[in-house]
Amino acid sequence: MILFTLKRLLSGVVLLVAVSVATFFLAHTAISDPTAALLGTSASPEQQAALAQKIGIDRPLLVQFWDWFSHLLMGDFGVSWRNFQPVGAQLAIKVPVTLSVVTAATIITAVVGTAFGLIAGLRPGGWFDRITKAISVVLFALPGFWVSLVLVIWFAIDLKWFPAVGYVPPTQSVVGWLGSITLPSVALALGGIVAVAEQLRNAVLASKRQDYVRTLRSRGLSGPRVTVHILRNSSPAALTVLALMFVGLLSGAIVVEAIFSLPGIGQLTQASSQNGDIPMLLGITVVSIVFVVIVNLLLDLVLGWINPKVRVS
Amino acid sequence: MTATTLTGAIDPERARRGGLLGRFLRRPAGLIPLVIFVLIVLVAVFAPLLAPHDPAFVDLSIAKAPPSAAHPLGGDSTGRDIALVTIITALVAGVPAGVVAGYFGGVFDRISTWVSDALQSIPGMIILLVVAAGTRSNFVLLMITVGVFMAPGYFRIARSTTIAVRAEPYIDAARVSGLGNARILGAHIIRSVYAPVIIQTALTAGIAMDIQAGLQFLGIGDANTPSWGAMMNEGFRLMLSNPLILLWPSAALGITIAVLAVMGSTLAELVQVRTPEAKKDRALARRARRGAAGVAIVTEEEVRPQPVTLSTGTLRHIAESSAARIENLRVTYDTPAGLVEVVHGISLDVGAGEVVGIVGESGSGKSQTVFSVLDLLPEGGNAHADGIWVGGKDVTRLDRRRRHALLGREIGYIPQEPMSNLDPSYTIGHQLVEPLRSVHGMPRAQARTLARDMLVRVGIVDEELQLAIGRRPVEARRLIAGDEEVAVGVEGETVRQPLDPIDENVRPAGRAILKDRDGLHATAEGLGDEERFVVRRKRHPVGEVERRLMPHIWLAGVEVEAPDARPQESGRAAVADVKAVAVDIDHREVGRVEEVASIDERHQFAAARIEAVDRLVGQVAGEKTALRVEGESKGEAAGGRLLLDRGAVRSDPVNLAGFAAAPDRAVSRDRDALRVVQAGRSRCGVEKDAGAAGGQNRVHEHSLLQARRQADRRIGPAVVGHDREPIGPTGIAVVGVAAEFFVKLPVLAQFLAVERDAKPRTVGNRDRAVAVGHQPALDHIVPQMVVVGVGREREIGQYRAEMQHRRKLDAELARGMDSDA
Repeated sequence: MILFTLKRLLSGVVLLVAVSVATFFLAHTAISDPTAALLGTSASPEQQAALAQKIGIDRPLLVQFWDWFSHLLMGDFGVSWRNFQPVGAQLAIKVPVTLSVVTAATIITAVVGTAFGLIAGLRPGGWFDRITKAISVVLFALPGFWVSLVLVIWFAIDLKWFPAVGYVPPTQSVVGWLGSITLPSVALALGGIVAVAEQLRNAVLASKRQDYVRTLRSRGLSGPRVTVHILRNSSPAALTVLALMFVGLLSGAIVVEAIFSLPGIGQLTQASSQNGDIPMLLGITVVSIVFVVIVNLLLDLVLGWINPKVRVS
Repeated sequence: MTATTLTGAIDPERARRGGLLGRFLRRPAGLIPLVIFVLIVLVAVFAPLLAPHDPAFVDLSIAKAPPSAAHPLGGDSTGRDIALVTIITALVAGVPAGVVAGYFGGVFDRISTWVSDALQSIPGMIILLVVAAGTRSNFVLLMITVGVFMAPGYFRIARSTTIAVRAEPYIDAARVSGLGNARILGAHIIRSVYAPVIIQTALTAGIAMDIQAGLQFLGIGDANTPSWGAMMNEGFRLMLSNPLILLWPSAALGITIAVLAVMGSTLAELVQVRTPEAKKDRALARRARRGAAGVAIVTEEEVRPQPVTLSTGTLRHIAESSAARIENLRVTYDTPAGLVEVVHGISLDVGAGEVVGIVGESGSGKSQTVFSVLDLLPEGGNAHADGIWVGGKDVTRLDRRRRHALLGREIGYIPQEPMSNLDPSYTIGHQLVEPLRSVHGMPRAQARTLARDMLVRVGIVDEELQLAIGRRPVEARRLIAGDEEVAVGVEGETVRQPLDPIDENVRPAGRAILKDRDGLHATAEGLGDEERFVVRRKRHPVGEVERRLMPHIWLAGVEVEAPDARPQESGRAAVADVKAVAVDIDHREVGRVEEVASIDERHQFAAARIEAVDRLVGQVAGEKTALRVEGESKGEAAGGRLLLDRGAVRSDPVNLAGFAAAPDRAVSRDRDALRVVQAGRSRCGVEKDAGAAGGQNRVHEHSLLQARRQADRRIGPAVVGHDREPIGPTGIAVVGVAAEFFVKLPVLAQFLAVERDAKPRTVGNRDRAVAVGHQPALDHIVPQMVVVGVGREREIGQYRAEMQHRRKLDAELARGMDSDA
């Protein structure tokens, strides 16, 4: 078990390093002249050169890389090229926003997706199953940001149940915080609910046919108790999708944050991308991957707990 | 006979169904989306002509972006089909890598799988924005990046499909017949991979369009290329003044993606589900439900084309005083062809304290009968009976809830196969305790004590007891065996046993037991407690037998005399010393087993080398006893003598029925004429140093140990049959072996190594050219595996010659027996 955990952890670290390195070179290749983006087209060559020297991009790329990477290992993300504030400090402000939304979306996805998938799987072909299927096609087809827009129009602008835009930190007001993340989370979750429900439905269908389910019934266990057995044996597939979803949510958050004007890493990414602020982009990438690695590790542990076979293979 | 079977097997639907495209078009869910999709494409192509006339677009903001508003696959002015770029990128990056990884395995597989997994765990949008930062105007490049992130989808599907196909016997066959990897990849693999890839493409296109629109919505990409996404952004800004601007492009995008998704899933259904779904007779099902009282709701007309059979079987007890009683039970299943009757009116009863076994061919409906009594038929199955009595009450007159309330209280079920009947996610202890608490309301401590006592009672003590209580099935196996490979061998004991206490519990209460027994399970010792047997053939029970006659059905095993009872160290030598003798139930020698491949430590039973058994068959046959093996998978009675189904498969690898002796009729005949080789309990062991792959020897010692344990506990079936006849022109040998041992490849390799004089078999570029196919149909009959090994051409030639010879013998024998009769 410990070995298994260590292996997964190591794999995660390798992933983190590989992606960080790849992103570093990708960013430096893609953004060949960050000073132009940073200063705008009106800047004189002298200004550009001065900035280039200040941020150190006049050095060879490998030197820059080592400078960045060695600092990263110490937990130092460097400073933004845009405003020369430490990247880490800015991320510390922005990340909780995105994390709030993504976590809430994950929870919504898990709960609603499980409920839908379970009910549909227990009665395949029933009315609930068929309605769920129809909704799935519609939800899959609708672009996520469009759904977000509709949500804003209905619930924020027309009904005024939630604020349309903006973010309230939980330290300021928990209720306000919940209100500010509800719509974005729901918008993010919708696509995932479909995926989780579909996976769980199929898994439930398969589990239901297992001999042990019949045996459990034959021993007089009540329906709900048997369902618990079925659910537990069906959950790995849905959990795997949920973990993949988390990655997708981090991506999706960028669009949703734009719509809901949430000051999270999505906006930060977009701004940094436009400004050519490479240290910021790299910082965001590294932090995102760290979260992904953590989530995947948790997933592996949970899967291993649910079904010991996973650990073996 | 064979000819008829074949004709019957040919799918009558096939001709009508035509090709995939034809079937696709015949479905509304295929045709309609396709038409819409074509329309969208057409609109896009002719957009410049149409758009100015479209009233929806008469709007100020749209004036900025007129004609390309409906560009279907992304709306880039330079090339309409920008999503195509994504798809092609993903295809090119994903599919070949997936096929190669799946086909060749090895390092490339591991690395590419890791890369694929890694790609999937990178938030693609962030990388996209990084790329976008530098290549602002180059939208094509962005979409290529999207394609790279979508490649894992293709990779996974190509890889898993390839792996699945690769394991198919026909690929092995192709390789044996000398086809190179390139040819196999080209001819067979690609053919299987393309369909799932098309499906994936429909999904990918939808997602790519979604992402693209999202990017454009964010204002990333060329500001001068109007598109749906950009329009929607426009719409968002103007949403308060004119929400319609937002609506139209979204609807267009949504419809396109939906159409793609529906086409994809329709294709998926067509490709994956080869048989059309069972058309459930709703009215019938409803009636069946409503009339939970049962009362033979289905009339004879509704039970379609099956020949009408009369109820068979005898009832011996008064209904009210019987423990269990089945009156004219018919079980039907909903199939694509309509209702099919699988149990044709069986009647039987069980008196209080009596033990009645139902025996019969596989597929004769033994289990269906038992599950009907429990009301636990699988989905699609319907039981109709004049009456099913449990404890003197006709339970078909109870509603579903009250009937299920009998389960675990009035009536129980003892599964045959332990492993699949335990929930792998819960500890064995928990599964013993849970019903005691929730059904019988026992306090936790008491339930635990009882569970423990039951385990002890069946001989699970000491460390095994701890494991059984505290571990889940898989873990328990692991810990006892200390090695996953062999662990499979242990499941019989750790897992089978805990279920037995139910049996123990039922008996003292004076309950009767109705057993669903297969010939295989009832080994000589295992016969034990049945006093009366109902013998079934496919259509109906053919009669009842008293216990004293039963030994003739199950016969003796292949016993091995062990002059030297030392534990095996160099098994091979010792095996040579062992004299294997085939005996009948009265221990009369009926033949000599010339080679013994393996032996367990106690020298009690050995897996006779399969050819040896075959030879034994020949010898016995030569003595003109009735023992004979018929080519069909089922035995038949002929000439008043038993023709034993040897179980191994002559022509149909799937139908490995094992030694399911057809016991009917024979029983009532001349007992001296009956000699059938029993499916003895045998184990395949191998000597310490003969294994080719050194690392596996340790494994095998374990398996010997476990074999002994199992022998001690008298559990499990064994090597039951073997037939080396090549199947078809290609040379696949089919071997039937006990499931417990050969589930895992390394062990399988060992097995084959034993078979092939301890040389590992090398075929193609893999050292283990074995595929394991678990035959689900057999699960509830006997845990048994079919091992498909690939023979070399030379060997195949030998098999062929051998089989021809055997067939000739068989034919002679059949003639002789016919004239006898």
